[in-house]
Amino acid sequence: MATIEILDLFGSATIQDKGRIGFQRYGVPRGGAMDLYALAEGQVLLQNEPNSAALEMQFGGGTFKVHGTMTLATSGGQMEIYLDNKPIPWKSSFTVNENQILQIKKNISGVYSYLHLPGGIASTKILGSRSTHIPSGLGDVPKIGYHLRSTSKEQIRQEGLFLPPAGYYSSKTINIVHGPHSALFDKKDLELLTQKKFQMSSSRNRMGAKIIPLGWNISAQTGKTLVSDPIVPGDIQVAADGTTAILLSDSQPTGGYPRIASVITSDLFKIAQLKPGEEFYFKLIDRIEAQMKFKQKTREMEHIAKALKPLIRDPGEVRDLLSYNFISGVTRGEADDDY
Amino acid sequence: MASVKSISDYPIIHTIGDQALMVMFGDGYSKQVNSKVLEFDRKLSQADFCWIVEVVPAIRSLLVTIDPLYIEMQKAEHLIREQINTQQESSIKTATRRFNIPVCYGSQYSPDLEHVSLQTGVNKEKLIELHCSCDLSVACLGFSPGLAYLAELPEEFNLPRKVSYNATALPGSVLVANRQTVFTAAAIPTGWSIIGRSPVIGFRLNQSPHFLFQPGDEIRFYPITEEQFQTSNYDKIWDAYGHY
Repeated sequence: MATIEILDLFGSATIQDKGRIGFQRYGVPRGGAMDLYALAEGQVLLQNEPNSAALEMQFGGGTFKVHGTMTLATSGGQMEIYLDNKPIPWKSSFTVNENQILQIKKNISGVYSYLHLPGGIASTKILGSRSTHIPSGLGDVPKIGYHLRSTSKEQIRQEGLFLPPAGYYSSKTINIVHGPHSALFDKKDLELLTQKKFQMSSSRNRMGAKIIPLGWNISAQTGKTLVSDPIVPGDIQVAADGTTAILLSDSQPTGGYPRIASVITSDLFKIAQLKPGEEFYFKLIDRIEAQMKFKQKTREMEHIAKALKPLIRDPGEVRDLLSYNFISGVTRGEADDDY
Repeated sequence: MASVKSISDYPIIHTIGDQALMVMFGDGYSKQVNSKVLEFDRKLSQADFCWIVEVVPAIRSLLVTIDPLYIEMQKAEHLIREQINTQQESSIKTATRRFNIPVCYGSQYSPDLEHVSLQTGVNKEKLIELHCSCDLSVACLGFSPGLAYLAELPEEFNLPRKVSYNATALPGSVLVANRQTVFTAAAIPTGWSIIGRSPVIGFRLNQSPHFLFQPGDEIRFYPITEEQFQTSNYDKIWDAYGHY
């Protein structure tokens, strides 16, 4: 069976599927891919089941050595990707062969990027999911020397399929809804929440992302909620020192800090892909609109396959033509860095 | 929520995020409030609604995650309220499961016992005796896999969390703060005082059932020596209670 060996990792990496459902009552975080839309795109590129596991890379890729022959795909935050030093397009399916070296490096957009294997990665499945949660020892930890294996016997899939770039990176507007603790906050803070700009900090991981209110501070509401209540991913928590953070996929299932609002589910991908330093506004919507947006996003995800294109077609239709390798074997065919 | 609520105002249903409802049964911990949470948890599991993705009972509140593709939030809230209104005291009774859990209070397992003794003015032997003399109820599991919040300890343990949050509590650690005790099953950073460690870990990866405790269980700790901690096998605790 073919495997993809990790020779080097430049940022942090985990294995993620859609996460664990039903175990929050035992204190287990839901987990799952930070960008579920990107996860779905990769499954479509390889005709995988929706809940297949992929390698999730935060802030950087890695170097991989191919053992055998297998079709792979990438998705999520755009990276430069090279197979034996030849660039290949991002968000496409491609077949790799024995001893080839795959390099994923230099981030172009977004934060979380995915490497997909046919049938998904065959790593340890526990509590219904392969998602890695390092603090609780759940799932495999992809480290240097780890071999990514496919769950499928058919490791060759249609290559040369391509999906257009996602439009939700560097989002300027993030939709939120009020929650159970919103009324604990000062009225002024609730108003400023949707009037003032926020900045994504560099202090972020799969548990949560610290965000910085620009030009003001949310007053901490200490002592008002000391009892832990359940948390949902997207909750915007204000700690005792005023530190504001959006809780994400690996957030603990319960917590005692008050939460001023929650990012809606269909905007969690946007938050996940915001780079440190990027600025955005929160927009307050009601739960009916939030639910409509979720349905719309779900429909979009079900129809990703309609956007599939064969890789090389009318050059006029292809936006980032320069990143395609039309001249393989003649020169290195590298794109100019014009992003 | 802005004004102080009295017990008769509860339960209160809030939306949290765009696909969950949170039912609050009170504003803090009490045995009565927590019992209502757990009773409602049982009730929802029996109601078996297809649109419920997950129910998470906490100390004073309960989260119901819904599938928005199956049901509108308003409709879900209506159905939850209906369940609350038909909730009858003690309509569903399940036998309380009781566990006796060995704990080594001493040496490397209790880095903060001395500190707790100084803070409370109660000597260590008395503290251990007090900690082992009450039937503690699993108010909820949370924060990390298998971690049990246990209530309620005697007044002597009404000490605040430590200022620093840097200590690591290993799996099986017994922590105290605010008249509560926490029994960990995975390593966590903590600001609570670590007063002992048990060789019994309430979460195991490789065998089902994975979790030893459920909300509503009762636990009584008993002291063991360092030697017992290191040499005795306590796996039978899982055998006796593992059937659910």
